[in-house]
Amino acid sequence: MIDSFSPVNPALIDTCEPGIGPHDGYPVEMQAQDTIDVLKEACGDAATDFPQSLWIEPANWADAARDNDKYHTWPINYVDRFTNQTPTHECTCHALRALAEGCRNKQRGIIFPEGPKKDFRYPQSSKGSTWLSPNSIYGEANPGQRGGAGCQQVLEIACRRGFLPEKIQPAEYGLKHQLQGTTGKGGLNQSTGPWVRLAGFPPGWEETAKWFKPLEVVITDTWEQVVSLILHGYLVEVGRSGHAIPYAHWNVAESVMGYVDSYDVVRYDSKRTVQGCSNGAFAIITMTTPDNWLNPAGTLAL
Amino acid sequence: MKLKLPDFVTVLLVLAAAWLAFGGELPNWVSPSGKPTAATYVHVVKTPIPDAVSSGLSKLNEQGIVATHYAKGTTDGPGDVPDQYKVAVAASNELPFLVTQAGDKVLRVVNDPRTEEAVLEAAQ
Repeated sequence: MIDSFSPVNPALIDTCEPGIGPHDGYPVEMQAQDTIDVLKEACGDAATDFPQSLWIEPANWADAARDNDKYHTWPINYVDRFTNQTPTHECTCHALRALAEGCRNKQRGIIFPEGPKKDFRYPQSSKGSTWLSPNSIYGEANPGQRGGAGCQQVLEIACRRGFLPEKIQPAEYGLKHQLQGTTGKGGLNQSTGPWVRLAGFPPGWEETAKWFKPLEVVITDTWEQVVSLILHGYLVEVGRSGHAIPYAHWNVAESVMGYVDSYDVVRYDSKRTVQGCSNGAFAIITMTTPDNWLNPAGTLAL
Repeated sequence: MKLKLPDFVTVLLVLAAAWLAFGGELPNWVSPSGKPTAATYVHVVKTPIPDAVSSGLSKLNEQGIVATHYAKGTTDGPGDVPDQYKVAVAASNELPFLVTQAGDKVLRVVNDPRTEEAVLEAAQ
């Protein structure tokens, strides 16, 4: 269970995957392009400024965190799996899939009390959680495979035409079009396979992808807005230090932000790091919704 | 108090008259089985969802009820109101509200629930 008043292992704060650093999936030149204006343009009609209705005064963060602890309503409680990108440059897309899946699971109303666990599958995931392929975005964002992608690039793609589902799903949803999740390590809950460019996607894939699109994206310009979104249960994507990640839990005791790293582990950013990357961060607050949660792309005859 | 036979017949006659008054169908606030199959918290997008409500919905899911959030205006893949929410969004105009259903029949509407108990009680 998440306890936002417990100490955090210092070895997990402001560190990266051993053997990986420095990260190179989110190069400095791409980070420079992820300005608020560019992100807004990338989202098109889905873009929205931070709404005052979601603002929480910093003086009230501890109380809000206690509620999230009590009811298991942190963003991380809507994430039911890890992904593992090792050793690829797919980080922006692994982070984006966490935002999309977390938003979708929040809409679905099922809470995963302990968040993602390595080599574990929640039985409740089979009630409508659909696992989305980071590669279905990255294959278009970077046709050269190596070198990473920008946050605004992958967000634009997702908002324009949606994700394809992974080849591994928690239930038999009768999906017509699927794609391997990663060319990296993957795992129990993530499929792996060869590199596929957009031209190699299964014919007619757009018909499935349109069911998995962000509809509304909040773009932040302060770190307090980021914490407010986290306290309301929305994951927030940021890029920093060559690596993009989804923020998923605020630890009050240490003022550090937990994130679901795409290496089967939860790590933390210090307050200073959060403050340094919150200008141009974003959260997906609504996704397209199925006509029936057990038929997520409308292909089964129920 | 024990019901006498003539009273019992009267009750049956009243129920039969009510059934005929509704065109031979059950009124929409009556579930054939009496058990909810869905509970939907309908809200305005970009407004806070009480944590206790989310927790209550999750507990209803554990009971086999499809208990979800729906931000009004959210669409399905083709851009329409998702079929599963068409009845729910029509149940009230005062957002937010919680609606419980048995199939397409609305069982209860609770305006602006804020506690776990209110959510669980609406599905009893």
